Amino acid sequence: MSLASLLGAGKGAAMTSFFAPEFFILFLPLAVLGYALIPKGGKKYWLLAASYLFYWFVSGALIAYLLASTLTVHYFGIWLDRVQTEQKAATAELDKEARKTLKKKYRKKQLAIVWLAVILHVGVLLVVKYSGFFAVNVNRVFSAFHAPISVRVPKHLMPIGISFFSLQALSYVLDVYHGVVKADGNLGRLALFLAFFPSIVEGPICRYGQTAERLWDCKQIEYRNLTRGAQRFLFGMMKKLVVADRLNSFVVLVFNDYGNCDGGVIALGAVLYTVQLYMDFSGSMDAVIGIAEIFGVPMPENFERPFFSRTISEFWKRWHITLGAWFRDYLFYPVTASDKMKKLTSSARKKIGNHYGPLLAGSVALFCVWLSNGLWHGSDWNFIFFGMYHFVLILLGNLIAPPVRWINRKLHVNPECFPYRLLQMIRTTVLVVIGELFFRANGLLSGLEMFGKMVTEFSVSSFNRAFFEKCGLDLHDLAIVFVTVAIVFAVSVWQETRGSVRDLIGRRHVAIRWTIWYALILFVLVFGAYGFGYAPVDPLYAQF
Amino acid sequence: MKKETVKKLAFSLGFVALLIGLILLLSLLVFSEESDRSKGALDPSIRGVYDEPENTVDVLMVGDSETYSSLIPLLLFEEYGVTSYCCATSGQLLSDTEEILDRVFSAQSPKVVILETNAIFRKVSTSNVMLRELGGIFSVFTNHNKWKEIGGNGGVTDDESACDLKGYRFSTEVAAVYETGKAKDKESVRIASQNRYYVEWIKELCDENGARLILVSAPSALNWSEGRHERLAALAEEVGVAFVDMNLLSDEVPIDWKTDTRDHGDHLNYFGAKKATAFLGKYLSENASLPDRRTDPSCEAWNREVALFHAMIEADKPIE
Repeated sequence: MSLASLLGAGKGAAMTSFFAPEFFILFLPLAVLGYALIPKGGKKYWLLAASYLFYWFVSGALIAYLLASTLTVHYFGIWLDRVQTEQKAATAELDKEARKTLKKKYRKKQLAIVWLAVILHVGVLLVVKYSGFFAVNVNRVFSAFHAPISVRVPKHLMPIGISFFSLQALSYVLDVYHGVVKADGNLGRLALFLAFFPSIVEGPICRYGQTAERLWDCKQIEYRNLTRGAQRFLFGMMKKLVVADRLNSFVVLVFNDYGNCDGGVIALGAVLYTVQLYMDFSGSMDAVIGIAEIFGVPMPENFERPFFSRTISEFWKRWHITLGAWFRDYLFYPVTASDKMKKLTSSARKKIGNHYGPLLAGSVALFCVWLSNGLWHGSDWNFIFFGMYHFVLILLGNLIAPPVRWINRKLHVNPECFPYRLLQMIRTTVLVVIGELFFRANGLLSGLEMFGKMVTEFSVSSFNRAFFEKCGLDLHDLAIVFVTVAIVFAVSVWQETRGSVRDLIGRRHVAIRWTIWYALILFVLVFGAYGFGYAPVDPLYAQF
Repeated sequence: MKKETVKKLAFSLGFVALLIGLILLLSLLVFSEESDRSKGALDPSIRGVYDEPENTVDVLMVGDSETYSSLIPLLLFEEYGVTSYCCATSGQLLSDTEEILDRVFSAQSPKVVILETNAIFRKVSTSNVMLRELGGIFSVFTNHNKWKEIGGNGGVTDDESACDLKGYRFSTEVAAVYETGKAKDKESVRIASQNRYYVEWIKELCDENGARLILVSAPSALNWSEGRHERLAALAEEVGVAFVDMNLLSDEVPIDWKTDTRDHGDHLNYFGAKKATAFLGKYLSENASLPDRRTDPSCEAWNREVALFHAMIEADKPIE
């Protein structure tokens, strides 16, 4: 037996989940203890070593991708910095016109470096993530034309978290290019920023300016951070172990065997998948942010109670926030700010007014964003459809906003009243659930068939005890899912209207505080879907 | 050390100590194994094995859903007088198999243990091993799922007139295989080292309890591959156990993948299971000297169950 397999290194290791016992009982306490005991100067190296060790556990030799990405963006950053310094020196004593010409030349040079970084990172993603998809589709075209040739469908092992750390790496290069941050000469700091172990599997996608300095600064662990981080971790654990993992067997059965399910069951499957995805991803984010909090590093939030959104556009500002922000800052803005789009906007403004004028250029950028967003999630047509579905919904939302406002005014409807807002939230949630059905489906065709069955064959006849037994669920499971979702909902309502629940609990007497945390721990311990009869479920977003 | 630091440290230690106390209390009072032997079954679906009179089950079947879909204990009894029980559960891991056997051996002395091989390819993770170890100290980690039984029966029917299928799960659903003969990459088939270790462990446990371990691959169009067969044959030889692969015995087990599967070739339905069980019965009669218990007074109830089973098939409906 090799050392790697003994230590469980590589793709098969179950430590991708923060809630696997080997992570939270062994790895995390050891990482925290070592960090606390090591003198200040060594803490950052400890954290970096722990991060690489963690990544090696989950990805084995594929850690090479992370190392290569780190090294290349480090040197791209330094290269950009050199060009920027050269530019400053060269243009310092020139007149305005000459400075403008020279600046343009240097800008081109910088842009070439940025493009090189983009091509390198996106190129790697294209090869490991999308080459199989392209080959399959090329073969489909050949087959449609009865061409007697086919291309080999390549199979590549995809490093866990590559879609996350690639975006993070690119954001650093782009931020250096735009002068948002200075290029970092310290390879270790950049390496820790990209590899910090809580965030490498599923994000959040941090910006260099948000976390790099704090991570490298390495503050001593404080009691308050430790307890608050642990509380956040625990809440995430409840979401993932009690709800998300419990629903997995039901969701897998419905999506893999939808042919034997009627429309009602498929609709329930779509709803429960949406619940599972939210509990899984936001639960993992609670863990990530909680662990980072223990180390004294504030991480950007990735969720802000998305199901309170009134529109799809708002939903995407509350769901996977850091991905949306990445596409907004590095794709949407650059496209809308390009010369061609600016021209288009100003001429459209004159012809179709101030609302619809900018919408034209905005829609082009929006299309690019949602195509990329769909593809980022996976290499299949259902992901492209998922992106386009949201593009169309957001576009429609923008198009009908003025007439809706006009109708509301005419009918004296107050759009801020609770029933109206509630209806908007329900409508948004329904649209999101439909989108998630296509997102989770095993291909676009399956998604369309499932949706068709949901609409044309809506019945609940197959929704019986035998069905639940088949997927290993019973009424007890559904009841506990309901109770936990109600707890999360109550917490969300409090956060939405009043503020932090942890602060609220923290202000109570120690007996009440401890009772609440003990209750939560024992709740997860007893009602968690782990151990006998449950296969551990990897974090759903880790596969992207 | 500052007074404030000492206070915080004491606070933290106090919190952890009290938590351990609570978990221990919960383990002893609510989720203990000793309080009710049948609760030791880990899963309500297999606790019936504890209702069998002591030392009357001669064959124990373990594994995942392939097992409880493919082997029918009541038919084995009817045809050969062999008493068996199917202690299979969905997605069973070998660590679970070992735990189940360990517990069942305290109540039964089976002469043969059949391990269906699909579970051998389901990797036992470090998490599973750690949870098992933790379960040894705090039983709540192993038995926590029994919360479903508190104040109820965990979804298991108490209907006295219902047939006790001895762990088999009846289904007459038919969903033909989409595609057969799908080539699988032989090289990619691996048995994880920890799984290999568990098979050895299970063999040792069977030896210690006087049971003979047999590896059996039930027919499955979706899960079987040549690579798997080769790995299993090598493992069986290494461990020193018999290996029977029904997937290669098309004459003895003539599965029709259009009619004998309930889910496109993953699991057998009743019609397929009947063929697999008939073969297993013949194999056991030729290779293991098991007593014919059809006239054994301690197994009288089995005859009643067989009659109920036939009535159920006649009605051709799954147990509700």
